[in-house]
Amino acid sequence: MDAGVKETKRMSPLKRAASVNEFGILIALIVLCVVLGLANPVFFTFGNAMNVLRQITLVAIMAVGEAFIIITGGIDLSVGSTMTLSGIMMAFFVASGVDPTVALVLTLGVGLLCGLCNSLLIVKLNLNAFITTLATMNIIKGFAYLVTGGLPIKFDSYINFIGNGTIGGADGVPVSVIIMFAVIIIGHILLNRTVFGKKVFAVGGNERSAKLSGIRTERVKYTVYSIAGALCALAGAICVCNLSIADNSSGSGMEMDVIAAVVIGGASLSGGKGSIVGVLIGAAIMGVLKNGFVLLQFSTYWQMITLGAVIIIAVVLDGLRNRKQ
Amino acid sequence: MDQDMLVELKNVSKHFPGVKALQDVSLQVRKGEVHAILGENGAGKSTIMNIMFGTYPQTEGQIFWKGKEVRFKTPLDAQNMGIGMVHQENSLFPFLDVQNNIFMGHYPASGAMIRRDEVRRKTVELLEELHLEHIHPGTTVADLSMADKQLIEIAKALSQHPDFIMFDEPTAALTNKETAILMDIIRDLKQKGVGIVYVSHRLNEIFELADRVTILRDGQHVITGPVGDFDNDKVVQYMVGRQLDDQMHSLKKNTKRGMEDETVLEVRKLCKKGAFEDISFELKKGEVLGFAGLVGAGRSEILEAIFGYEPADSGEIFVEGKKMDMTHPQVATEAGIGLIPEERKVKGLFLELSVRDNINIATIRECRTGTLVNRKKEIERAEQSVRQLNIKTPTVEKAIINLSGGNQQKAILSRWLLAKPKILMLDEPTHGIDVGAKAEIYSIIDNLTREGVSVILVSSELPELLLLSDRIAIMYHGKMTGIVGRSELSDDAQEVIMRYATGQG
Repeated sequence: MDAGVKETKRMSPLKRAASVNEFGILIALIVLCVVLGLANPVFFTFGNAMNVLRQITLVAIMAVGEAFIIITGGIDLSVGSTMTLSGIMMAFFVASGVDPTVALVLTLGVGLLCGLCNSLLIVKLNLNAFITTLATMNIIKGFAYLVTGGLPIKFDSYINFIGNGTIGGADGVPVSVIIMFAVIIIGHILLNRTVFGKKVFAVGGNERSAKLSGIRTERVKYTVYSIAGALCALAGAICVCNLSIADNSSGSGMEMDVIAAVVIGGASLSGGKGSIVGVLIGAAIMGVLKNGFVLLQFSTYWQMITLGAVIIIAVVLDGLRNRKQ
Repeated sequence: MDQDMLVELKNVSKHFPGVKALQDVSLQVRKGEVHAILGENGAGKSTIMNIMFGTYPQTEGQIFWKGKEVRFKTPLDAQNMGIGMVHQENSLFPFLDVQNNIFMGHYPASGAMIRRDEVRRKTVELLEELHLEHIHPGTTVADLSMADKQLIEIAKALSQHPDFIMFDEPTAALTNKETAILMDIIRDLKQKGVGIVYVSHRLNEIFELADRVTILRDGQHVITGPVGDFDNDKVVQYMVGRQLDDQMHSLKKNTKRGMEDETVLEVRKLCKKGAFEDISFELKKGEVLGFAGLVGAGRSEILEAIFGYEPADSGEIFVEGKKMDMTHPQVATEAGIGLIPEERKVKGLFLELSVRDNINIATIRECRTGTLVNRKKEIERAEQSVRQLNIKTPTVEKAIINLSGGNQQKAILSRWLLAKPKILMLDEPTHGIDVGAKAEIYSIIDNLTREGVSVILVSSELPELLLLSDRIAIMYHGKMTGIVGRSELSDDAQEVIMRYATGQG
C-alpha cells in the first residue's frame, strides 16, 4: 500500500521544535536575552524580568486581537484609540458612580462595540480595512476627547489591582502579567484548537474558497474585530488601573507596536498565517530591546532605529523561510 | 532556407511541476499564413503560444525566428522582434481609457513627455483601420462591453504592427457581428504577409480562415496539414483520439448506473441578470447531468447560484422536494450539496494552508471532540482521503501549493466527499490536469453515482461529458437550448451538441 503518503512521523523533539514556525524568533529572543544578560547582570534578575513583562502587557494583549484580524487578511489601526477611549470610559463610569466591576464589563462592551463598528463598515460597505480603521482611529480618538474635554480623570477603586497589583508580595508577579498570559493561552487555543480558529485561517487564506466551503466569512470578520476591540478595552482598563489616571494619550501610537508584534511573530499581512505564541515572542523581543537600551544607557534614538531594523529583519527572515519550504 | 518561414519550433517541450504540458512539438508558421492550432482544453495550445510569446521558456527544444535561433527572456523580447499576441483573458487596464491601453509600454514620446496628440491621432487611425470607429479613444475600458474589450485587446496587439500574431480564442466573447469584423481584420493581415496563429473552439471559423491546421492532444503533436484535408469529424477524431474513445466504450458498456426516478434537485425558472435566464431542469438520484456550452454561456453561474455563492435574482430551487432559499453556500452545504468550483486556485484552494486543512475545512465540525478540534482526527481523515483518492503528497502537513494540479483537484474533491453530499456539482473538474488524474476523477464520479449521489458536471470537453453523463443540457448565451438524453447520445452526439452550443441548434 504505497499511496504516496507517509504517516506523519514522530520526529525527535529537537527537530520538531525546529520545524515550529516560532522557532526562529524564539532563538532570536533567547540570543538577545543572553547578550543583554552578559552585558548587564541586572537583566537576569526576577525584578527586571517582571518589569519587562509588565511593560509588554498592553501591547501583547492588544496584539492577540490584532493577530486574529491580520490572519483573516484584515488590519485594525484603531486599536490605540480604542484602548484610550475604553480606559477613559472605565474612569468615567466609576466617576459616575457605577460599581468598578460592572464598569469593567461595560468597558469591555465599549471596546467590543468599537470593533464591531469597524467590521460592519468593512463588511457592509465593502470598504478597505486599512482606510476604514484609519478613519475610525480618528473618530474614536475624537470621542475620547469629547468625554474628557482633554482633562485627565482620576481613577482609584478596589479594581486597580488588575493594573498595579501583584501576587506573592510586593515584588511578586504582577496581576496584569497573569492576565496577559491568560489572554495568550485562551487566544492560542481559540486560534488553533477550535472550529472558529480554522475559519479564521480559511478566510485569510482565500476568502472566496472559504465562502465556497460553506463558511460565513462575514460573521468571522465581525467576530475577530469584536474580539480585538474587547481586548483593547481590557488593555485600556489595565492601563488606567495601573496609572490610577485616565487620559487621552495613553494609547496613542500603540497601533504601530501592536502591528509590529504581530508581524515579528510571523504573521503575514496578506492573511492566512500567524500565531499567538509568535505574538508573545514578538512583543517580548520589542520589550527586551527597550529594556536593554535602558539598562545599557543607550540613547532612545538608537532604540527607535534598532526596533525598526528588527521589524525588517523579522519579515525578511520569514520570507526566506517560506521560500525554502 | 525557406524565405517565407517566420517562426519555427523544433521539438519543443514544456514541463510544469507534475504536468508535461507540451512534449516534443514542432510547428512552422509562414508569412501570410493562418495556422490554426486545435485541441481540447489542456492539450497545450495556450502553452505553445506562451512559449512563442516569451511568457515562459521552453524546457527543451529550439525556437527559430526568421531562420535564426532565438531565446526569449520576456514577452518584451518577443514584442520587440515583431511578435504579438491577443490573450484569452483580459489583459487590459480597466481604469485607463482606450488610447492609453493601446499605447501602454510603447508610447510615442519626446524625452520623458508623452506626445498626447500623437497618441490620440494614432488611436483614431488604428480604430478606423480596423473598422472599430464605434469605439471612442477616450472611453474608460471598464465601461466597454465584453466584446469591445476583446476588440481593443486585438487593436492593442496590432498597434505595434507585428510580423507574427497569435490569437487565443479571440471570438469567445464576441457575437456574430463582431466575429465578422475580426475575420475581415485577419484576412487583411494575411494579405499584408503577417503570419497568424489562430486558436478557437469554433470549427466553422477555422474552416473559413485557416490555411493549415495543427492538432494537439495531451501536449503532443498529432497531425499538421492543409485545412482541405480535414472536416469536422476528422478534427474531432484527432482531437479526442482513439484512446479516450475506447475508454468511453468500456465505461459505457458496464454502465448499469444507479439512476432512479426520484428527483433530488429541481430548478424552476432560475434567472440572473447578465448571466442566465429561465433555467429549469430536474436532477434524478444517481444521475450525472452534464452541462455543455461554450465558455461564458452561463454554466458556472448556474452552479454558483444553486450553491448560493452568487444567488439568482429569481426562480425556485427544490432539494428533495423542499423549496430552498439559497442565500449562502452554508445553506446549500447543509442541504447536502457540494460544489467543486472552476478556477481551483482562485475559488477552491487555500494555497498556503496544509493538505490536511484543505481537505477538512468544509467538515471541520466533525473533527471535534467536545468543543475543541482534535488534531488526530484531522490527520486521520486527511490521510484516509489521501489514500483513497491516491493524492500524491509527502505528508498531509505539506502546503497544498506544492502539489500538482491533479492532486490539488483530488484534495478538493475529497473535501466534499467527506461532507457526504447528495448532490455534487463539478465545474470543469479536469481542467488543466494530466490524463492519469483525469481518469481517476472519472472513476470517482462513476462510483459516486453508484452510491446514489447525483452529479452535475460542467465541462468544456465534450468527450468527457459524453463519457460520464446520463443526460446533457446545452447552454448558449445564458439560455438552455436543449437537453439530450442518453439514448440520443449516439456517435454524432458531439456534432449535435456543438450545433446547439454554438446557437445553430
